[in-house]
Amino acid sequence: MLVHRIAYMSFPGHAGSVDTVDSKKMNTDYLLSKALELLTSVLDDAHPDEAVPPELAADGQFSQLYRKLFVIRSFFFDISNGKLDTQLKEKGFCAGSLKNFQADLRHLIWQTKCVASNDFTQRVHFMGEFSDAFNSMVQQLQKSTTDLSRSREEYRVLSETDQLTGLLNRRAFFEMGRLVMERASVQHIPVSLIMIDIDFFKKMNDTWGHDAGDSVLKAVGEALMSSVRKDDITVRYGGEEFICMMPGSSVSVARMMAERLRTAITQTSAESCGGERCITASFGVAYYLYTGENYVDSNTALETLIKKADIALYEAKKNGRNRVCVYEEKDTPEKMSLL
Amino acid sequence: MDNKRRFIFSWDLIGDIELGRPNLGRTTSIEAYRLMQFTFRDVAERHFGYEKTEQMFYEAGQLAGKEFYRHVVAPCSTWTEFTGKICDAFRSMGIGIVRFESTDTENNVYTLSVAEDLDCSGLPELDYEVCTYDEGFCSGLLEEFSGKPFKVKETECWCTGSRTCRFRATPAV
Repeated sequence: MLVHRIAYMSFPGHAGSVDTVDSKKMNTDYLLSKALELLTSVLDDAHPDEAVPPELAADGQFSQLYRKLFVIRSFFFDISNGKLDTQLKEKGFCAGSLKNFQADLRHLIWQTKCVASNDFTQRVHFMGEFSDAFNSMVQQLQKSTTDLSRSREEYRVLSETDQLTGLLNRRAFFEMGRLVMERASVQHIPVSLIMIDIDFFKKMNDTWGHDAGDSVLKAVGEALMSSVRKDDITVRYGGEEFICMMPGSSVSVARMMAERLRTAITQTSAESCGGERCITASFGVAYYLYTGENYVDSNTALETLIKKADIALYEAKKNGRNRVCVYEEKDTPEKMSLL
Repeated sequence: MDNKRRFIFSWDLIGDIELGRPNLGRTTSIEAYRLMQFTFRDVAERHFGYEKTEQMFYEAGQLAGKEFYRHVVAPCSTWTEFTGKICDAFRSMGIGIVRFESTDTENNVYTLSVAEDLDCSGLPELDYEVCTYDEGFCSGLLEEFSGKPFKVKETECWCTGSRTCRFRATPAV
């Protein structure tokens, strides 16, 4: 019908003439062939003509159909190339299905962005086999991320912990200690530090062996942990030395705490030390309070505090061990330089 | 005639479905839903005209969206939680398949589409969008979640030959 109509419109002088039946049929065949060629080119060719040839353009319906196919083809091409913001105004089953597919893809992009920002609740329910694959990927990603976070946390704990005693190690102490000193300077709060050294540890090691030495270290670590407050920072500083840092504590509080720790350690026994033997330790206490005049950076402040506690510890050792000594500001600068 | 209001909406009007429908349960047919919507729309249009009826449907949808958020979706503390719950609720209740396509949370501009929409999917092509109730519904959901008013416009509809309904939400002036 369409081609007949085109034939009529293209060759109106011939239409209806009995003498020209063959000619009309020839023209109809020609137009039909031309229309098929054009429609095929829209489906198959990489660069079909956008314009309808004049002999076919006479039919408005055909031109409209061709233009519609051409627009749908362009839209389809855009989607196949990942260009998803093209607007298609055409209607009908094919155009509608493509628009639906476009909406699916745009939603998938949105969902993928959500997953990329750690939203693992995203699931696809409307794209058959792809839905299963996507959902499985997101679940796996969530599991991997959770495992990774757990591993990272385990490694962090491992890297900050002394394996023998379970206390913080020296590296972690310096990181935390610097923060404490910084906050103390800003907020003008005192910080006390107790340095602890197990008495005659070398002799214990030499007499009863390293295993016995290790059990002494563990027993002292447990005694410290069970005596300090939750905000105090308890560290195995190295060898048989321990530190207890007490943010917000005055020197008198720190002295009392040191006495309490000393008593706790004397009540500790390490079974492997040739039976139950008494363990003792010496304590040096030092104190820091930013007054507005003595400002130094947090690194220097921490190192100075440790040095002062070490001086006091030296005094405790010198005066017979198993005792607490507090650093006095009058303690000589020469002692500082000795350390 | 007594003009006293009798149907100020409250969630109680949904009723106790378990009690009232022990055999038929919670579901009904799409035909029944659409029969009610489009006959109501027909009569309302005859009485009040097209524009007023559209406004009524938009506002009714808005009210429904707010109530739906309060009773079905809430609480949501994040946008992510909100979108996830909306998608799940629409799907499980057979309202449609919601697909968020873009979310500009800075400017509060959102594009979402609903496939297999309860209101319109499968209707004949009509040359105009019909999901006015859905527009209001989306607006109510967004407003109740964010505390800010939204204007929602359907830009594509099954009835305009799109086989999916697309909505664009922007801050209401």
